Amino acid sequence: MHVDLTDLKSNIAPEVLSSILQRAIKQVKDDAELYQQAIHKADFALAAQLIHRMRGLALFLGVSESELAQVFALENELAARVPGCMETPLSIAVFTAQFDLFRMSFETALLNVSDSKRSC
Amino acid sequence: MLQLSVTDTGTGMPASYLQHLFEPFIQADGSTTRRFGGTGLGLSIVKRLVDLMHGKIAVASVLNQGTRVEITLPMSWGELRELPSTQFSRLGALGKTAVIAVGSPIFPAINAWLIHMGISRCNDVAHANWTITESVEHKLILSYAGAEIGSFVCTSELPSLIQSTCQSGIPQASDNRATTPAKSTEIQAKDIRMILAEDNDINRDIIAQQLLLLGISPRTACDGLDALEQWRQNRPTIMLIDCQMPKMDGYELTRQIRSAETGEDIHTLLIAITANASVTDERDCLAAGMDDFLSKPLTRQKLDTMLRKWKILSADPSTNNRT
Repeated sequence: MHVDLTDLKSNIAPEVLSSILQRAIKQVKDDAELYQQAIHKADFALAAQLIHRMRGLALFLGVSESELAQVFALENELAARVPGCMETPLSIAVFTAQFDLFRMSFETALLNVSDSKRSC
Repeated sequence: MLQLSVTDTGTGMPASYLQHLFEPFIQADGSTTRRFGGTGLGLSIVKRLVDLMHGKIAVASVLNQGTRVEITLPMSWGELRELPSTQFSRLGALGKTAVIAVGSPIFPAINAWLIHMGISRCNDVAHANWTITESVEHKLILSYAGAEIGSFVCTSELPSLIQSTCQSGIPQASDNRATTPAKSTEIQAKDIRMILAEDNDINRDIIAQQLLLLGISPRTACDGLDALEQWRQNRPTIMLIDCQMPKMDGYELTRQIRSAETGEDIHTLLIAITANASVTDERDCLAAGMDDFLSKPLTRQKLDTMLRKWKILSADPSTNNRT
């Protein structure tokens, strides 16, 4: 996954952008925990909202729509689930794995740009 | 809402086929020996048209019994002459006036275009925004405030000429007669009352930073209820509304605002911001009562273009931008 800050760099002061990146990294970590809890409680609406929030953040931080297509599909799939309906352990594992893949890619991309900004 | 329904007692369609119904070049019987002709394009075109009109289409069919197609289009009652088409409703010409000083046979065609754009025809040149005349070479001339804007031969060129005038600014004073450029009556960016409703604080800060560069300092709201309360207290000129927010989503917020505006002589410009950029999402936003639609991410350029389109910012970039 690639975080492209070109547009933001031209419009936002470096110290503000740096702070935004740090907050984004923390938000991704926090939301990942909330997602795990939501999935295991079969609160799929909340899980979908958390993905939506993270996807929105990724878009703002310059991740392309094409790179977010898979997680968007997961978001739609979870939003379409009947509230409270219990899923099989396999489904839960798949939902968790798909989200983790996205979360880790995004987190790594954020850490990379954050480190490169610090070293500049 | 306008609902159209067409029912036949024909061959019907199997359920497995219905999910592909709106794909182009699809027919229930695709064999070369089928009984019925056609290219299989009709319904895909209808679906596209319905989407463009922000409507919905549904099909129910029972094999060997028949099919029912229902179309729902978001429309409201009004005077026929005052109804602008969806396509032209965003030109910024709605409610403006024009004098047509040309004779038959071109008169009805021009009149029809004006109606499409939401422009009223008037007879008083002194109070009209535009005049349309005919040159000796039989070219049609569009003038604004007595100055020629451009000439056209085909009446379908009229909307783009009108739009170019709208984008360069139409005076908002009660006397519609244009005598000076619009700059003097336009709102200064620092005076724009804007509420930015977005639940993610990081996204909110990014948008607020972009807006500051455009000279706008928005109030912010972290959910739909907060946004509604702020709207009641501050009566902003414009709101940027995230569609998915906790407590009250952007669609419900919009409906509440539009309901509260009913009977009042105000219309808050409501612009949706969403991470979903499909035609369906745009349709849902407009159906809820929003005026326009922005997809995430909101770059400074996107915001700038949108605010100029709705004349929130001056057409002259140097008037508003801080770099």
